[in-house]
Amino acid sequence: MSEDHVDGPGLRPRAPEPARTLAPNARGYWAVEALGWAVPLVIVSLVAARGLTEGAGAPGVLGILLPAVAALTGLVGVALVPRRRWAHWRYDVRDEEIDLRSGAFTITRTLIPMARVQHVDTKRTVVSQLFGLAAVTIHTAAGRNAIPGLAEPDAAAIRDRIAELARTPDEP
Amino acid sequence: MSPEPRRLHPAGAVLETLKAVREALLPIIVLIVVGGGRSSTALLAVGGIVAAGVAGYLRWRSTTYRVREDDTLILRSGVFSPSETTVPVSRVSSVDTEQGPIQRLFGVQEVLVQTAGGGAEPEVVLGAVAEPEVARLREALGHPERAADRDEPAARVRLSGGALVAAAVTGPQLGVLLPLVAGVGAVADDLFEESFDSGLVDSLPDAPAAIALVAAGLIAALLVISILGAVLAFRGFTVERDEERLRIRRGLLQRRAASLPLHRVHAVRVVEGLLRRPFGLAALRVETVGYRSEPVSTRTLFPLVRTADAPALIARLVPGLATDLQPLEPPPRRALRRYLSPPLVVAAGAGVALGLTTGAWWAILPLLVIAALEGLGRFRAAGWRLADGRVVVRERRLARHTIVARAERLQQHARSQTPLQRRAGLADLAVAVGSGRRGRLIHLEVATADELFQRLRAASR
Repeated sequence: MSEDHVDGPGLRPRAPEPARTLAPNARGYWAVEALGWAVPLVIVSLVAARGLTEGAGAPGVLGILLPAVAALTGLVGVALVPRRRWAHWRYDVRDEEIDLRSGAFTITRTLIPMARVQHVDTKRTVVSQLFGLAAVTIHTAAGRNAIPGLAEPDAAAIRDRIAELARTPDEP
Repeated sequence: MSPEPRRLHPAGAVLETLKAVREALLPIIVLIVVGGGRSSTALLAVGGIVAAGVAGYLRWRSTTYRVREDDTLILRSGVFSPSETTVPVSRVSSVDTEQGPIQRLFGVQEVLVQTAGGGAEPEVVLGAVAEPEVARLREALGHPERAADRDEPAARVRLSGGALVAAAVTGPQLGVLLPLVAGVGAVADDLFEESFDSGLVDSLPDAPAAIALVAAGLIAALLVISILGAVLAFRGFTVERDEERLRIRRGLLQRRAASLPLHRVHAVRVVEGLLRRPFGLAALRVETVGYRSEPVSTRTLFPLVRTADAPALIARLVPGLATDLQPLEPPPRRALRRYLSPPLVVAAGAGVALGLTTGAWWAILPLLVIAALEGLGRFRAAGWRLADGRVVVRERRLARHTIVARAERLQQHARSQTPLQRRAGLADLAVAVGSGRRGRLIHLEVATADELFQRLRAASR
């Protein structure tokens, strides 16, 4: 599109909001992933609280407060964040751009022009494979963005589609 | 150029020897120290240096390069396990030269060949190449010193002597000193207190004064070193532009010449450092994609310019980014308190922590004042502009940064909203250029952020 046509507010069609959602079991996958740090966090806080109150003689209230804060953080990370992330996540792969919306609390909408995509790959972890999930990572000269929590066949299809669309960039 | 393998200039043997000596220096020193100056250890040290000389000669002998008829640069090196590096000429993205004191002595240059998509290190480094051969090599690699059809560059800008001094004195190198100053202060404080506690103050009456003197001397010395460093790096700074590339030459002892294809320059940044802002001065940086990542000084497009003259200089050196830097659209007035509160919260936290630990509660007020000034500065610095396909984003993070980029070449852009911003009807907008650098505009009106998002989207298609 010519640059001359982009000014003049109100005349351009608004970009449609991205519409596609992630796999429903991404919530479960993220929750399991969060357990990976939440459980150690609670254990460490219990040990630290014990050490501080009995060993170093810190006030007893600290022995309850510290594990409580850790448990609450873990609970938010395991129960709340995956659900909110899933509810907010939307994506679309159009011919000329990749449109992402993400975030648990702060919601970010990111637009990556297809011509800027350098390469794209899919990534699976041991845990994500249990859920049959994979992430698509999109690399540009400025860094990378990922679409996580996709069913494996979907991820492969999206990767191939982006690779196909990005194959003829007009400049580096 | 001849397709026969060529050796480097014999100065290469000297350079390799020095490198070997440098590598062997630590063991030699250890030997001398441990040996305690016995004649046998001295002999060993001499032997080491001789061995380094032999190693340097052998390395030089075994290093050859050539540009084959099929346009491939081939570098062979290694004495015992020869390795061969092959670089297709079509993939060469830059041919830079450097000239250190040793190279200058022999009238040779170091040639660094970088390929597109390569890592931080140049693919091929030729330590010593004679001047006429440099020209031939550049020609063969498709990166001639000058475009063949013209002798005069389209633009040439030189840093004047006065500007060099101003750049050195106000340079960002001073920032490196701040932690050092703080460290020296803490040490002096410790010594001072200790001398009180132990009653040493009687026996060492001049200690605090002496310490202060030493500290002041140290700071002055570091200051001089950092200024000298900037002078050495930027002396003779010259930028030339022809149709396709920028050539940057600089340096007093280590002379560097870099050439930069213009199409790799994705953005230019105007940096107004803390010491430069009050004088209306700034430095120009280039944001490039797929180029050697090197110290700040190499990414300098021009070390010092009046901020008012920056747009004209950008237009001369990178015509593709020519645009006005004024006027900028500011964030709404009602966003001011949101700019103020984060620095204030940090300052209050730091002040309370300081008060609790050292009892220096008085420090909280100056901290809050500094934080408020920083917040106000950030608010007043923030602004954007999108015209003629050029996007300008200005923000302050201690120094004031103004990014100028072509909207159609942005790598991505994003609009984000925290829950608090959602309630207030504000949003952030961030753009990313090819080097990975981001420009962020915080607390815009939602309607403004959305409009900018859509206009950038339209420009990138």
